[in-house]
Formats: sequence, C-alpha cells, structure tokens
Amino acid sequence: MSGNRIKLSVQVKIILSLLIVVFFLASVTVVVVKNRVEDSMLNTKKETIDLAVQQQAEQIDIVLNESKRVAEQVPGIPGISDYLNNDNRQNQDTKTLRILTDFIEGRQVESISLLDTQGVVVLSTDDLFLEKELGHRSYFLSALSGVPATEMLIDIVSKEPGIVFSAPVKDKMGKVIGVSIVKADIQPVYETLIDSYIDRLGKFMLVNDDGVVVFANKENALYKSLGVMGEEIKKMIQNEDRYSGKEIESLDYDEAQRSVESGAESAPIYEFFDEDDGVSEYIKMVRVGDSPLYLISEVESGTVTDVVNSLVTSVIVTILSILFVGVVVQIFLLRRVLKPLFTLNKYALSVSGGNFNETLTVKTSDELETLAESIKKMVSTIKDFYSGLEEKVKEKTAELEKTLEQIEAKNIDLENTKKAVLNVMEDLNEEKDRIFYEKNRIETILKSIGDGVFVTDGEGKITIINKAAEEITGHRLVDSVGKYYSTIFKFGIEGHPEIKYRDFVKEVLETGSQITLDKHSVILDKKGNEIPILDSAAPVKDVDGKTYGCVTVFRDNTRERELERSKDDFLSVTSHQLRTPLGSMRWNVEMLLAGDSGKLPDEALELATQIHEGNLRMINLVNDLLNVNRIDQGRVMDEPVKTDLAVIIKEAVKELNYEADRRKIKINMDLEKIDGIVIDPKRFREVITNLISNAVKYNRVGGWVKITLNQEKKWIQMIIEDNGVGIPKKDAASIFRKFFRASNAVQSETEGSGLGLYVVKKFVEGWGGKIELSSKEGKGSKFTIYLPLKINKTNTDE
Amino acid sequence: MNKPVILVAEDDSLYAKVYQNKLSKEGYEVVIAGNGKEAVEKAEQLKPKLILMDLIMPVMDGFSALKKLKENQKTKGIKVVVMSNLGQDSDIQKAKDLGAEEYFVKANISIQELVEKVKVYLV
Repeated sequence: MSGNRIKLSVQVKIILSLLIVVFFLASVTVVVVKNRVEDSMLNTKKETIDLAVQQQAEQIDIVLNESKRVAEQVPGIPGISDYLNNDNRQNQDTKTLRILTDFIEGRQVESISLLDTQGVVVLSTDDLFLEKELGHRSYFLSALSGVPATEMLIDIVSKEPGIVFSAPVKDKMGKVIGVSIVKADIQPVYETLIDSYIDRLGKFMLVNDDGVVVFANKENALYKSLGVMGEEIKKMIQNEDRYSGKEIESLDYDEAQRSVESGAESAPIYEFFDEDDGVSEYIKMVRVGDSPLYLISEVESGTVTDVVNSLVTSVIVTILSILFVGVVVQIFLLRRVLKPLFTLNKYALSVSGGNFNETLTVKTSDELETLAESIKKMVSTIKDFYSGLEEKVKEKTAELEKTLEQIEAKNIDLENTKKAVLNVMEDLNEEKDRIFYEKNRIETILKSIGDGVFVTDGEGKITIINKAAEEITGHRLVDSVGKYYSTIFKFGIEGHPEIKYRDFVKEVLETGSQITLDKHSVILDKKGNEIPILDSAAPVKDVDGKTYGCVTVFRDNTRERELERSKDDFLSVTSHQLRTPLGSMRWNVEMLLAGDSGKLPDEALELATQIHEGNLRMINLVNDLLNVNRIDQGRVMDEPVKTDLAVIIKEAVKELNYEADRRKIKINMDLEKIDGIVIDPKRFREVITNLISNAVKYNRVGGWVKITLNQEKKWIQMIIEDNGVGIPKKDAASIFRKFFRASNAVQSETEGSGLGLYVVKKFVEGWGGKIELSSKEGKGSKFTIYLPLKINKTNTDE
Repeated sequence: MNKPVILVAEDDSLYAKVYQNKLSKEGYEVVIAGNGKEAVEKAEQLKPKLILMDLIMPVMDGFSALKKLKENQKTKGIKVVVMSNLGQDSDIQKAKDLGAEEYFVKANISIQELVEKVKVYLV
C-alpha cells in the first residue's frame, strides 16, 4: 500500500509544518513577552519597593513622633522640675512617681525615668532602671547639654529594641537640673511593620545610627552591623557598653552602611547578593523621619523572575493547549479532507489493478463527492468494455494454448521419431558393420578350426557345417543345410549301436545351457564307421538371452581313445601282474603272522611283519596308480550303499593299529554314529586309510592321532589330527598335487608315492565335499573333511 | 558231517596252495579248478555252495566260466565271488553284470577278511 504511505506522509508533512510554524511563532512571542514583562515587572517591582519602604518609614516616623511628643512633655509636668531641684529629694519619691505613672496611663510609653545631672536614675516607673548610671550615654549627654535626643537600642533584658527619648529638665532659671528619659512603647512600631507590605514582600531591618540592626524579620540579623564597623564607633560602643558588651558582627551591606554613616535620608535601590541566603536581592534603605533609624528592605530579585516565569509558563501552557487543540482540529480536518482522497486513490489503484468490483463511497457533500461520482461512472464504463474484452481474450488465450499444446505434442513426436530413426540408422549401420565383421570372423574361425563344427537353427536344423566336420563325417554342407541335425550326424555310444543317443541339440535348445557329451560318444561317418569323438554343444543366444540356435563342436577322438585304451590295458595287465605275486605274498605272510604254521619266534614275527608292511605298501602303490589313472580319466565308478562311516573308520584303524603300536602312537577316536549316508564304502575306506596312515607314518614315536566324526546340520565333518612332523608352510598349497611329497616327508625315510592325498581330494570332491588342511611344521597336521549328507554319485562317465 | 565245499577256480599254484591251506584249516573242503572250463565242470558235478573265481585263467577265463555257470540251470544258484587281481571298474561291472555276488581284488583283501567273507556265504 505504498500509495497510502505517501498520502500519510503528506498528512504528516502538513501537520509537521504547521507545528513548526506555530512553535516558532510561539517561541518568539514567549521570549519577547517574557523579556518585556520581566523588565516592566522589575521596574514596577523596584518602584513598588521604593514606595513601600518610604511609606513604611513614614508610618514608623508618625508612631515615633507621638512618643517623641510625649517625651517632650515630661519635663513640663508639674512637680518634676521641683523634684529634681530639691536637694533633699528621695529616690523613687512616691508622690512624683504617682504623677508620672498617671501620666503614662493611656499613652504609648513604656516607662519614664528621671536622671540627675550625674546620669543616675533617681526615679523610674520601671523599677529595673532605678539607680542605674547612664551618665555616659549620648542621649543623656545631649539632653544635659539642653538638646533632646532620640536613640534606638536593644533592651538588654527583654532583648527587644527600645527607643529612648531624652529631654533636659530645667529649673525656673532655665538651668538643666536633670534629664527625663522616655522609653517609647515599641509595639506600635512593630504593628506597622509586622504583616506590612514590605514584610510580605521580603525581609526588612531597622538599623540605628550605629549601623546596628535592632529589629528585623530577617533571621539572625539582630546585633549585627550593616558593614565593617569603624574602629572609632566600635570603641565608643564598647566604652558605653551600649549593647551590654555583646559582640557586633558585621553584615555586608556596604552601600547601605555608607548611607547610614552619611546620615542620608535614603539610598537608591540597588541589587545585592546576599551571601547568607545565597540569593540576589534588591536593597532599599530609607531614613525614618529625622530619627536615627533606618529602614532597610530586602526583596529577592528572584521572586520577580519567579513570578514572571510562572506567568510565562502559564502562557506557554495556554499556547501549547491551544496548539494541541489546534493540531487535533487540524488532523481531524485533514482527515476529513484526505480520507475521501485515500478512498479515491485506493479505488483507483484497485481499478488499475484490474479489479472493477471494488465499491467507492464518498459522502463529503463537496467537490470530492462529485469527483468520486465521475470516477465511478468512468470505471463502470471501463468495466463494461473490459469484461467483454476479457471474455474475448480468455477465449483467444485458451484457443492459443490448445494450439500450442498440439504443436508441442507434434514437435515431441517429431523429435522422438527423428531420434528413433537416427538410432535405428545408427544401429543398422553398427549392426551391418558388426554382422559383416562377425561373419568374416566366424567364417575364418570355423575354417581354421580343426574340430568339426555344425550349427543349427532354433529348430535343430543345420545351418553351417565347417570343413573339419565335412572331413570327419563325409557329409557336405550343401546336402545338409535345412535338415534336422540327427538325420545327418549320427551319434552313439561306443560299441553300443543299439542305444539311442540323446537328442542333445534339442536339450540345448530347450534348456539354453551347454552340454558336454558322454566320454564314449562316437559319430558315424557316411560309411557307417564309428568315429570316437569328444564333443560339446552350446546354445546360441540373442541379446535377450533367448536361444535361437545350437553350436556343436566335436573332435575326432580316435587316437586319444586308442591311446587311452592301450594305457588302460597296460595298466590293467601291469597291475594284475604286480598284484598276483603281491597278493599271494600277503596271504602267506598273513598266515605266518596268524600262526597258521605254528607260533613264530619273536624275531621271525618281527621279520614277517616287516615283510607284510612292505607288501602292503607295494599293493597300495599299485592301487594308487590305478586310482590316479581312473581319476584322471574321470572314470571312477562309485557303488554307493548305505554305510556306517564309524565302522569303516574303525576297520581302517584296526589295520593300522599294528604299525601305530609299534611306534607307540596312540589313536583316539570320537565317532558319532551317522545315519543315512550313502557312499561307496571301498572308496571311503581308501580315503580314510590314506589320511590315518599318513597321520601315523608322519608322526613321532609316542605321538597321537585323533579322529573325530560328527554331523553339523547337513554336513558330515571328519577330522584327522596328529601331532607329527606337520607340513611346511611352503608345501601346504601343493600337498594335494599328484606325485607331490612334502619336503620333510621326502627327507624322512618314510616311503610314499605322493598320490594318496591327490586321490583323497579327488574322491572327496567327487562326492561334493571338500578337504581342508591346517598344519604347522613340527607341531602336527589337521585334515578336515566335509561331506554332504546327500553324497554325489560319482559317475564313471562324466 | 560233510564239510562245506568251496570250489576255487585258480590257475596260480601259489594262490591255490594258500586257499587250500587256509580254508581247509577253517574247516572247508576246498576243490581247486585250474581253469574256467574245469571250474564249470566241477561246479556241475560237486554243486558247491560257493565258488571263488579267478578271472585270468587259461583255456577258459573267469568271465566265460561265470557266464556259463549262470546260464546253466544246475549251476545258476551257486554263489560266485570273484577273486581276481584285475581291478578295473569295467571288470568289476562286467563280473557283476554276469551275476557275481562280490568282487575282491586278491591283493587288497587280507586272508582273515577272506575267511570272514567265506563264512558269511557258508553259514
């Protein structure tokens, strides 16, 4: 709402400028007025003070004059002169006292005293004065010299100021015979002063011609002199003991002091800083008539300023109040004017923003209302036009959007199509290159391969036959293409033409996995001759893994087969020929050992045992050789039957017991009975005999062998452990190799073929098990065999 | 009480002697046939309970003799255990196919084991 803010600031600006102007004017006015008022008030004040002090002095004078007149009458009172003239007079003569007491009655007189020419009070209406010696007093001396005098002093007793009038008492000859002293009643003087205008205005002091303050409404001013007292006066005062020896302190009223000393009637008003009170004051001094009394008035100049200030404050408050009211009124008026303007502006903004539904209400009954009405009319016209326009624009926009969408979609389609075409073209090119390359490659490979190769399609129909295949079989590609492979290539089992050979290409096509054909496979050539082959068939798959063909590779195996056969024959004959004497030897020795020909002498028994041992070893060697041959050709024929492994282990151990006892080797067995294992017992026995005989053979005298058999879930675990010579670390990896013998085994005198562990490992693995070795040279060996509960049947022809 | 008769087809005199010697001691009457042909004839004649058959023999080998024995109704029921030093799987298979009860490689079996086996057949 930035528009509104601008307007607000206008409002503020107006108010602020008004305020500033008003403040400026008010300030100037206040300052000017204040100065003027202050000046005039000060003048007035001074004049007032001047006048008031003079009037006050006149009033005091009037009062004093009355007392003075009384005092002048006293010498003339009948009997007074006589009394003093009488040499035999008595002090405080009753008759005379009565005269004086009567005289005082009704007059403003406090007491009347009569003094002889020596200044001794001989008679007084106030007993306190009787017989006091006042001969040194100036007023006495003056009166004695014939001149009446007036003096204002402070009464020692009452501590109040008193005014004393002295007058000479003369005899009929005019000779001064004494002095009368009237002490005036001070009360009327007080009355004129107390609560008088000057009292209210400020402080005042009555000062006698010594310059000593005798009466004041100013605190602590009594007994103080107006200024620094001259040494002469000081001395005189002390001599006369006028103030009962009271120390007169100085007050700093230099100007007034000078006026008093000079006996001037009055001094001009002046400003003075009163150190005691710490304020600035106006001082005015006026002499009371022709008496030795001076009235001094002090008025704080500040009081005037205060008055003026309070006046100014009230003026300012008034102005501010008016100002405030003015501002409020201003704001109100401004709002009255601006509010409809805001409304108009808001409305205009809203309309310019496209919102024609805003309502506008301005009820000011002036030009603004008229303006608002005009605007409303204008807006309504625009609205009508706009709404039509909007409808059209909406329509057009929608159409446009639709068209754009369609175009966009078409564009995307086009782009995709383009991409696809490009991809296809690229793929095609690649494919073309690849196919060409592959074709060349395959052709070259096929040609150069010595093995026979034929390829079928997904239905087993021949697509390719290579040269080698043509040469081996005599069938030609041209005659064979498109025919089912088995109608051309006749496979069979060697020597069993009656057995129908498996349809391995079909199997490959169905399973999608490679097949290696049976060991004794043959292929019939065109003339019907059996040609032994080794072959395998593999699927040809497309990128999705779908099999769409089969490649069969076969090798003319005639020579290998012949060699194998002759080797087998040789081994068979050799082993037979070797075993024949070994076997009869064995039985004969065993009969000897069994005591069939009478109990043998120990020595003979020993010898026979050794013969038996050597005999067995040779038999084992022959067996191992045959086994290795069989294993190498993958021709191990298992005869698995349900077997109790523990029994076989015990039998094997029994056979080895003799040798173990001889070397004091202890064989421990911990055999768990395991049910349901189906295994070839002869092979198992070969395995276990091999391992145990190793453990005994490669042991030390007094060593031990431990055999453990147990079942761990689906595995049979068999451990043959010994603390014999162990297997060197470097030989551990080779120990299961054919004809390998560990270095320490070779060094020892123990004989061995290096075939035992090879056979063991082959058998165990053939059953689907595994064998592990952990050994430390010099510490012993540990062979662990794991067999699955469900033993693989090792096929002869695999 | 007649001793149980064991016919042994064995051309090797050393073996023949051991069979004769050992099995006689165990209480059997041992009849030796020097070849397959002889064995077939003696089997028919003696009707032994058990024949221990060597394979490699002159005139007629063990396989042929076994075949003949099993083909002949009179000798068909006689238990034949092959005792040979041939040990090829094919030999074993062949013998079994021809009806041999068991097949032992002579060198691989101790004389005690042989005696125990024989006992099993002649209980």
